[in-house]
Amino acid sequence: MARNAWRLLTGLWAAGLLHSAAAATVAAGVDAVAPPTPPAIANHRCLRCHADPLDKEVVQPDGSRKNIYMDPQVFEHSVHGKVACNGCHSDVTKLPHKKPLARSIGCIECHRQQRDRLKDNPDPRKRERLDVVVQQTDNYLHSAHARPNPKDQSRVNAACHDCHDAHNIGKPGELQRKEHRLKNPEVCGRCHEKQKKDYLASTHGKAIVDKKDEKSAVCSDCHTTHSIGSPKGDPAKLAITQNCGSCHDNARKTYLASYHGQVNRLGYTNTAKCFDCHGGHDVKDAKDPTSAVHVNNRLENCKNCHKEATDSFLQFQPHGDPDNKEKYPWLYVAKRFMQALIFAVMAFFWVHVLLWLFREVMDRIQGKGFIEDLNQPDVVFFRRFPPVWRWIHFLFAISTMALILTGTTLLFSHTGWAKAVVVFLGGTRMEGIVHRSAAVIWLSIFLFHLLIAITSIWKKRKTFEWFGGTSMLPNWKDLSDLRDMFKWFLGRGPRPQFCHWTYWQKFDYWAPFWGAAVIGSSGIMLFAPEKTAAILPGWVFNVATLVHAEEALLAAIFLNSVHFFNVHFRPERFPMSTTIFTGAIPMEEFKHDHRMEYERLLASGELDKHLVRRPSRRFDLVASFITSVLIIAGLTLLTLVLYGIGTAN
Amino acid sequence: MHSIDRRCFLKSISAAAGASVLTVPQSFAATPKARVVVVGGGFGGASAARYLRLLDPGIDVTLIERGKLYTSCPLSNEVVSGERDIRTLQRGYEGLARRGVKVVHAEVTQIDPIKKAVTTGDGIAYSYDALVMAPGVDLDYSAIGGLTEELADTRIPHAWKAGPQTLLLKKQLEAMPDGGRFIIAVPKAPFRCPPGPYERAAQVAMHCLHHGKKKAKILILDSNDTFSKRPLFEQAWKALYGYGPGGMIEWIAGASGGIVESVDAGAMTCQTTFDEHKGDVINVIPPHRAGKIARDIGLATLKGNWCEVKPESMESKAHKDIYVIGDSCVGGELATGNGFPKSAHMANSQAKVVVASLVAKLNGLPPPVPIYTNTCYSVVGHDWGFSVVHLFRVENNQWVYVAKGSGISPVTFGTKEAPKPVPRVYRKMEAEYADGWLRNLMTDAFG
Amino acid sequence: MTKNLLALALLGLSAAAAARDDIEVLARTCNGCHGVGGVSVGLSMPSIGGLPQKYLKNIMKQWKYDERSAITMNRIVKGLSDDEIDALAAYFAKQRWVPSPQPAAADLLAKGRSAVSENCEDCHGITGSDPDVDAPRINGQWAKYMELELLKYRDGKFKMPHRKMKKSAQDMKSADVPAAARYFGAQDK
Repeated sequence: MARNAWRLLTGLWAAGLLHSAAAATVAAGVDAVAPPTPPAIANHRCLRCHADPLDKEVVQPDGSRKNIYMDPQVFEHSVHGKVACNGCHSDVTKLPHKKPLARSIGCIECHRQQRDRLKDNPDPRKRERLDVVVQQTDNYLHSAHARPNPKDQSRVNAACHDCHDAHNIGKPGELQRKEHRLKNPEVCGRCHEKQKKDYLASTHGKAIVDKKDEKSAVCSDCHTTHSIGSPKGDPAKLAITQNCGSCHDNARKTYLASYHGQVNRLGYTNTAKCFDCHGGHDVKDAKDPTSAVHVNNRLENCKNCHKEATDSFLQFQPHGDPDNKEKYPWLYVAKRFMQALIFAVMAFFWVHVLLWLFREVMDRIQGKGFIEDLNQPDVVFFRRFPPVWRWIHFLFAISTMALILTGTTLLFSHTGWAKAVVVFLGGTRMEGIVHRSAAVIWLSIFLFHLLIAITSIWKKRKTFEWFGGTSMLPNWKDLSDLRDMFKWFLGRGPRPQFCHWTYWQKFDYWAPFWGAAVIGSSGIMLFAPEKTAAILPGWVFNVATLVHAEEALLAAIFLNSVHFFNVHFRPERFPMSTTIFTGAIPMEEFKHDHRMEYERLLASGELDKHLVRRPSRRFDLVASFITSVLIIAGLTLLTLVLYGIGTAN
Repeated sequence: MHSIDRRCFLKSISAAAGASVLTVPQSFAATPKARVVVVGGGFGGASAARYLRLLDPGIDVTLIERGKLYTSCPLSNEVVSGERDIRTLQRGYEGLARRGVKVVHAEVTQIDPIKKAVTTGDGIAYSYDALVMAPGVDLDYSAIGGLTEELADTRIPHAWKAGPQTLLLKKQLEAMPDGGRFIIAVPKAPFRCPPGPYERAAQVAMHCLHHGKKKAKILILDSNDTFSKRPLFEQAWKALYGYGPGGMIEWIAGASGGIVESVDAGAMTCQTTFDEHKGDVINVIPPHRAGKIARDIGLATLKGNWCEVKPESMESKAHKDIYVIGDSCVGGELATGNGFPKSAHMANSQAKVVVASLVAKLNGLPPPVPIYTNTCYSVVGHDWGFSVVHLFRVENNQWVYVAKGSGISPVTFGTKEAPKPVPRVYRKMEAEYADGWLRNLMTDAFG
Repeated sequence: MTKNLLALALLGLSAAAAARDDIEVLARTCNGCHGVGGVSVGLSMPSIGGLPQKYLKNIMKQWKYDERSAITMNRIVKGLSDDEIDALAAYFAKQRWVPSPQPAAADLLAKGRSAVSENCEDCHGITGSDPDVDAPRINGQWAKYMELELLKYRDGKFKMPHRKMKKSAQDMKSADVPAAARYFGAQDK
C-alpha cells in the first residue's frame, strides 16, 4: 500500500513537474518519473486488456457484464495521466491479477499524503489544487454518500469512483471538466433515477442536455459536489437554497430580504425556500404553464404553506426589489422615504448630541455648568413621575428591547449573533412568539398610557393649558429653545431654560406615536397575512416588511444612542439618570434642567407638593441597577444593530 | 490426482462390494476379487492389464506374453527408412509389473474355456475368472506361393511385426542401389495397420531421395482396389516423391493386377495374376488372420479368421468370459465398411472397454456405456504427417460408426469446385503430433 | 400414469448412475494421447489435466463449431455432444496439474524469461503457473507443443479466436518463440 501510494505520489509530482515546465524538463521529467522502486507493472501492460476497443466487456463470475475499457488517450490527458495503473488499483500486485478485482483504490489517503508532502513547498500553486481536493474528500467523508449503504453495509452509498471517472479528470478549465459537468446529471441519475427524470424535464436539464450550456445548473450546483446531505435534513435544504443563489444572485438578494429568506438565512427551513415555490428538480420558467410559479399555479403553491391564502397573495412579490424603480415603484418610494427619514432624524440628532457634548465638555473645562456639589448632597428631590408612568416606561423599555432584539435577528440574519440569539431563544418560531408577545405588551401599554393621559387631561380640562409648560404638545417655545440650544452649543448664548418638558423629551414622547402607527400596523399585517390579504392587496406585505424594518431600525438606533445621550450620557448626567425608575429628580438637577417649572411652582407655592425625600439607598441601588442593565442592554443592542448594518451586503 | 481418483473409485466399488473391504486394501486381500488372465502383451493386452490394475487393484491380473521386449509397429516404418532408432519404439513389461500385473513370459499352448484355465508351454495352468485374448494376428505365409516363414526372416521380410524383420528390411533398403526397385505387396484387407504399407512406401521413397537414389522405384502391388487415407497419401507422394508410372512411387490396384500370388526368392520376383515384377527389395506382407491360439479354441467365428465379439463388452461371441481385443477381433459398423481399423490405438481403446465392463461386472455395478476411439498418424516425409480418427459408439447393442467424430486430415480446403491446398504447416504439425501420440499411447499401454 | 412416472424416474436414476461412469469411460479415451489424468508424456502432446474448465470447454466447443483451427482435435470433438464436452472439461479441470519440467540451458532460459515477461506474463503469469481466469497454466507444459501452438497463433493460416493471445504471439520475435516455450517448459512450479 505504502509503496503504491509512493508510486502514485511520484507520478503525480512528476506530472506536475512536466506540466509546469513543459519543454525544458522532458529529460528531467523522465528522471523525476523514475520512482525509487520501479513500478511492478507498466501501464502499457494493463492497457493490453483494458484499452482493447474490440473487447470492452468481460463477464463477471455472477454472469453480469462489466466494462473494463479505458481510453488510453483520455487517460493520458487526465490529471492522473502519468500515474501507474496499480498506483490506484493497488490490489494489482502482479499480472495476471485476481478477478474480479477487489476495489482498493485509496483516493482519499493518497491525496492527503500527496498534499502533506507538498505542505512545505514554497510554490503555492502546487498545493492549492490538492488543498481543494483534500477539502472535498473531507466533505465527502461527512456526506450522506460516505455512509454505509442500508442495503449492503459492506459498501458506502457512493464511493469516489461512482461519480468520478478517475481516468478522465481534467485540470480546472480543461475540456474534461466541462464534459464531466455536463455528465453530472447522468452520473447522479445512475442512482437517483426519478430525480434525474424530473431534472431532465426542467429548464436546467434542458439547457444542459439540449444546449450543452454548462452554465445551467447541474445536480452538484444545488446539492454541492461533496457535502451531500440527506435532502430531508435542514443543512441540505439550506445549502440548496444558498446554492440556487450562487447563480440567481438577484433572486437570492431579494429573497434574503424577505421574511422567507431571513428565516432561511438564520438556518431554519420553516419558511418557503427556493424549491418550495419554484420546484426542485423540475424547476421551470414562470412562463411555462407547467411551472409551479406560473401565474395559474402560483396560488396553489402559496397554499402549500398559507392554507388560507387568497387571490391577493398573487400580488405579493416574493422577490420584490426596493431598488428596482421600474418594476416595484411603490416599494422604491417606500424605501427612499424611510431612508430619508432615518437619515434626517439621525443626522439631526447626532449633530445635536455631538454639539451638546462639545459644549458641556468645554464648559467643564472652563469650570462652568452643572457640577455636583459634593459638600451639599441633594436631600430634597422633585417628584417627576408617579409610579404608573415609571412602570409604563419600564415595561415599554423592556418590550422595545425585546422587539428590537428579536426583530433585528431577521433583519441581520447574516450575522452570527442573530443566529446565536435565535438558537438561544429556541428557533424562529419561538422568536416569533417572543416578538409578538412583546408587541402586544408594547401596544397595550401604549393604549393604556393614552387612556391615562386622556383621563388626566379630562380631569384638568378646565385648567389644562394645551400649549403650556406642562403639556407634551409642541409649542413655539420648543422651536426657540432649539434655536437657543444651538446658540449655546456654539457658545453664542446662554443655555435656554425649560419648563416641565424639554423639546427633546417631547420628541422622545411623540416618536413612538409615529412608530406605533407604522410598526404596529405593518406588524399586524405581517402577523396575520391571510387575514390582511383578505382585505388588502398582496403588495402591502412588501411595503410592510420594508417599513417595519426601517422604522424599527430608526427606533433602535435613536433610542439607544440619542435618547441615551440626552438622558444619561451628557456629562451632567453621566453615567445615568435613575429618575425614570425612582420618579424623583435631585432638586438641583431639577432646577438646572427645568428652571421655569421650578420657578413656576415656587411662585405658585405648589413646589412643596412635589418635593420628596431622597430615595432610600436601597431603592436608589435598585434603580441604578435596573438602569444599568437597561443601558447595557440598549448599548448592546445598538452595537449589534450597527454591526448588522455595517456587515449587510 | 490419480491416487485420489482411484480412491474415489475404490470407495464406490467398495460400497457395492461390502463394508469389509473398506478396511482391507484390495491389493492385500488374502484372496483376490477375481483373477484375470491376459494373453498377449501388445498394445491391446498391455493396456488391458494395466487398466485392470488401475481401475481395481483388487483384481489379480496375469499377463502372458512370449517376448520380453515389445516393439511398436506404429512409426516402425521410420525405422525402415532410418529416420528413427528402433529402441524408441521398444518397451519392456516392468511398468506393468510395477502396477501389480503378474507378467509371465511364456507361450500359451492351451486354453480351456470350460475349465477356465490357460496352460503355457512349461505346463503351468492359469485359471481365470475372465480371459482377455489379445493374441494379435498370424501371417498366413501359405497364401503366397513360394513364401515361408523362414524366407520372411531372411530374404523377403514382411516387417509387419516390428522387430528383427524391420531391421532386416532397413538393411535391404540401405543396400538397394540407385535405380533399384522396392516392391511392397499388400495383402487383402483386413490387415493390421491399414495405412502402414503406404506410409512405408513414402518412408522408403524419402530414404531414397535423401540417399542419392533418385531413380529408385517403389512399387506397391496391392490386393485391394483402394486403401486407407488414399487421397492424403497420393497427394503427399505426388508432392514429395512423384507418383504414378513416371514417379518414384507407383501403386497397382488389385483389379489392375496388383494381387501377388507368389514370390521367387531366388529371382527376386513377384508373380501377380498377369505379371511378374522384379524387385531389389521385396517386402511381401502375407494375409492376416487372428492369432493361432484364438483360432484354436474356436474364437475366430468370422470365416475362421477373425473373432467376433459383443459390442458392449468385447466378450467373445463364442465363449463366455473370454474377451477378444486388438487385431484379432472384428468389430465396428461392418455393413457400411466402417469396421474397426486394426490399429494400436484401437486395441488400446478396446482394452479400456473390456476393463470398464469387467470391473463393473466384478464389482456388481451396472455396465458402463462403451465408447471406442482411434487416432492414427502416418508420417510420410520430413514435416509431413496426417491422421485418421475414428469414433464408434454402441447403440442397441450394435456398433455405430460416428462419421461426425471420424475422418482423415483435410485433403484440400476451400470448396469442392475451388479447392485450396492445405497449408504445409498442417502436415508439419501432424508429423510432430505423431511422435507425441505414440509416446503417450505406449505409456498408456505399458506404463 | 404414476407407474410411467416411476419408470421414468428410475430410468433417470440409472441414466444418472451410468452417466457418472460414462465420464470416466469417455475421459479414458483421451488418455491415449494426453496421458492418464491428462498428464502427457509426448513432447508434442499437451498435458490437459488441471487446466481451467472454462478454457477446456471453450476450446473444445470452438473446435467443434469450427471457430478455432485444430488439425486433429477438431475432428475428434465433432463426435462429442456439448454435454460430453462440458463433462470432459469439468473432469480434466478437476485433475491435478502435473508439470513436466524439461531442462534447458541457462542462457536460453534467460532469453525465454525476458520474452515471457514482455509477451506472456500478463496472462499466464511469469512462470505460467498463475494464469488469468481464462488462460491455461503452462508451467512444465511441453515446450514442443507450445512451440507448435505458437506457430498456429503466429501463422496467419489458422483460425485462432483469442485475439490477445494471437497478438501477443505475433508480437514475439521469431527467435523468442522457442526460448519462451522452453522457458515455460522448464518451470516446475
